[in-house]
Amino acid sequence: MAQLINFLRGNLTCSITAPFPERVLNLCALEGVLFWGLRWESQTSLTLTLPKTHLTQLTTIVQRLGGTINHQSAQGLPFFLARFRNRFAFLVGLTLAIFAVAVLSNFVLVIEVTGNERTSTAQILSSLEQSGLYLGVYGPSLSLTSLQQSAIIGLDDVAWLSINRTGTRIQVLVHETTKPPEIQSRDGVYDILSDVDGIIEQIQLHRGEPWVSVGDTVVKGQILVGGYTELPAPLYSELPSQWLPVHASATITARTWHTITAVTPLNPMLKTTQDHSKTSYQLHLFGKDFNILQNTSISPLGYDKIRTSTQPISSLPLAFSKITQQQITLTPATLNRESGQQLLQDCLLSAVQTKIGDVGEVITHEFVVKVVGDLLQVTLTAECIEQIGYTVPSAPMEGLAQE
Amino acid sequence: MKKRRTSLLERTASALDLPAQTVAGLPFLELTGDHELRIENHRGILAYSEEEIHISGGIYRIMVQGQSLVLRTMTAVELLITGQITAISLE
Repeated sequence: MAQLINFLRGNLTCSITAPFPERVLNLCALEGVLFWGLRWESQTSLTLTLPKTHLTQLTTIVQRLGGTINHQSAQGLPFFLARFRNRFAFLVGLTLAIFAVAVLSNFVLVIEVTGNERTSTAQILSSLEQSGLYLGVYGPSLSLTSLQQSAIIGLDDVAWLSINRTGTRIQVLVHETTKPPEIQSRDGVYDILSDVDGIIEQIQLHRGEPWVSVGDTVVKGQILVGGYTELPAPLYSELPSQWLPVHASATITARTWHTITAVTPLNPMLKTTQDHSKTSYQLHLFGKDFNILQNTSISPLGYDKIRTSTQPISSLPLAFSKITQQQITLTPATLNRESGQQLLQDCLLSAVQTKIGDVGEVITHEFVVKVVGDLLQVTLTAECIEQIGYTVPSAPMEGLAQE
Repeated sequence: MKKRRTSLLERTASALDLPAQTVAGLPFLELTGDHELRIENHRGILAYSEEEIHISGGIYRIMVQGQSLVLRTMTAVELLITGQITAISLE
């Protein structure tokens, strides 16, 4: 610890020559001049080490006693730094570095948005930008509380925002609103209609009057469950049956068949790159693009524009882009029939699965492949199990409306 | 050695059973083994060499003898001598 303190304040080793060196030591002790490392060189001279700040006092004492003082060596941080006082480039660099750390670190370089699911990050950033928070803004000038309130105005699905600034980084914590549960309406009179042709496999009836039963064949648009439920008259009563209007609800599973066709050209046009190309560079800084040396204009006809971006430090809003405009020509090629067929089959199966939904299941399927002109045509016929039925308002029943 | 007459403050300190170095300003010597001597209430150095150091203790002259004696540190009230100390005498 003592060595560290001595290093920080700097110390000098001095040679003192005086008629009575003991008097020098006694005066040093009286006037509070610290010294150590004392060596007696001769009857009239000695060497000692003292802090840099006490040198003036020691010089005064020695001169008062008619002696002389010579500096032998100097150690410590003040003397180390003093060596750089004439190196102006170093001082300028040091000043700029301190300036960069002290001032530039207050500008916002990164905005990090977390916690959003329904609202996109781009929407939140746009709203924040309109409120005054964007890349490159001076951090201490921001009022985070008012930002939190103003940015939330245009975001319907956001309950509140928490904005925290740590140096150059802004962290936006988003808490979205909780959507109310979907309440199935019981108001009104509604029927359930079939949306595809098929054979009924299962009916789970919640409300309404079933118009079909398991094993029946239905066509698209046919009523499956009616919105009027019959209330039979009491036994031996002469009163007519009553009809209770309800909002029909049921889960109806049916066996269905889907046929989908896809085509692809047998001789597609392929791009072939030519020798001619033009390269330009762009600097992307704080969300803005700056062209370097030349303009990156829109590509002329017959040219592809290829952009390759490099971000030296991923956390900083700084990137370089190399834009190459490559001349291309279109030349016909021959399709590999097997791979083209496989591609179409995969696409068709995926399309059917999308059509029948997550609950649906493809039981069997078959493909028919044929060449029509210069097109390869693949037709998929799939047998599926899926839920059918959609709700529509029921037509008013005669007589019931009059009651 | 000539017998020294004790001062009034010394006698008072002795009568009241108080530390003499505090009341009468007498030098206080603390020897650690034979290699470190600490002296409080000194009045300055009178002579210095590696074999012998003379220190003023006010009414005493303290003579430290030995080999490789070094004055490690010195303030207005305290000093520290290190080295091989062989004798301490008062005069």
